[in-house]
Amino acid sequence: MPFTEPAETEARRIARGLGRKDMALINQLVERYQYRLVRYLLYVMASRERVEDLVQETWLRVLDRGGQYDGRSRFEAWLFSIARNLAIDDLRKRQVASLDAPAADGENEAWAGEWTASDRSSPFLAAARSEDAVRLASALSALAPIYREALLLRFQEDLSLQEISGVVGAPVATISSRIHRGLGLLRSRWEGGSNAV
Amino acid sequence: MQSDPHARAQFLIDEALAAGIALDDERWLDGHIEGCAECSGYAELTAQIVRGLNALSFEADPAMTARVQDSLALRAQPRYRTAPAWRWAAIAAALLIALATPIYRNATARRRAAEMEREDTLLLERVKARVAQTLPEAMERLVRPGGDR
Repeated sequence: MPFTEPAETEARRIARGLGRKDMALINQLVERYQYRLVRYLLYVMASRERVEDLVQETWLRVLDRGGQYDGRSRFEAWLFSIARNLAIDDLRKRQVASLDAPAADGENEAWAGEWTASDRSSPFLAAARSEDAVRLASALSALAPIYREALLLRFQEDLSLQEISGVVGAPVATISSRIHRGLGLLRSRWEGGSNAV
Repeated sequence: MQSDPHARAQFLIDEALAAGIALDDERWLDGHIEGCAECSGYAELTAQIVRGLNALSFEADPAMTARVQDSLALRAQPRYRTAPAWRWAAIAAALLIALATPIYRNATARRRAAEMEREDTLLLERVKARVAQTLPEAMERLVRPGGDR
């Protein structure tokens, strides 16, 4: 009997349960992934406004379209891709620039202003627990969502570049570029903040 | 491939975190960082940033999970939806036709009966008129006093 890794088996189990609309399983998934889903949407939206609505819509879509999840990728990657599409639709309805607009340096800096949360409302600042974290949170708030998203999915969700590529719908090389660029921007803002002290 | 060793080192520092690097590159990088304060500082700052990202802790409303689960339970219930408007319109139209048809037929039948009666009446009157016209001439011969005697 071929050896199957536990992660693959888990994903297949989830896929079978979603196909049957197993509510016990779905409730378990909500409890297990809720925090990560909220965190992902906070990173993308840079604001708590609309996050709960998007969280709810995401899970409803998981229920409605569970048959589309085949268990070949990790469940969280599929979950984040649903959330991403809903967030993009929500941003478009509110006539904000797309998450995936071309990554020319000047443009991204300009768009960063669209989603920059004021210090008072930034969910990143609210999440900071130390002075360094506050400095990082300010830098994070100023990043364009495509960079925040790439950094979150790589360093906090520990997705591979291929998995992130699947979530975002961009080539692996683009994801790698966004991670490099995101780290560079955070470094320069961090150093800029420390120099300003 | 960067010719500048510092640029190469800084690229590899980020790439190691993003996607991983080959063993040869890793060995080269370790050797370079050991002897380069600038790139050592770069590596430490980058590591500090990644640690900082992982240290951000967001508050998630525990009641939100319950609200989501309630919504899911509601959505999962068998749907007793009200029929869409077009179905109600179709049902109403069918009922209207069903009720109206006998009434229409009844009215049509009555109209036809009335028309036939009217035609009969007209025919009778025409016959009477004709009779009234022709009878006097015929009868006159019969009833003329002392006419045919």
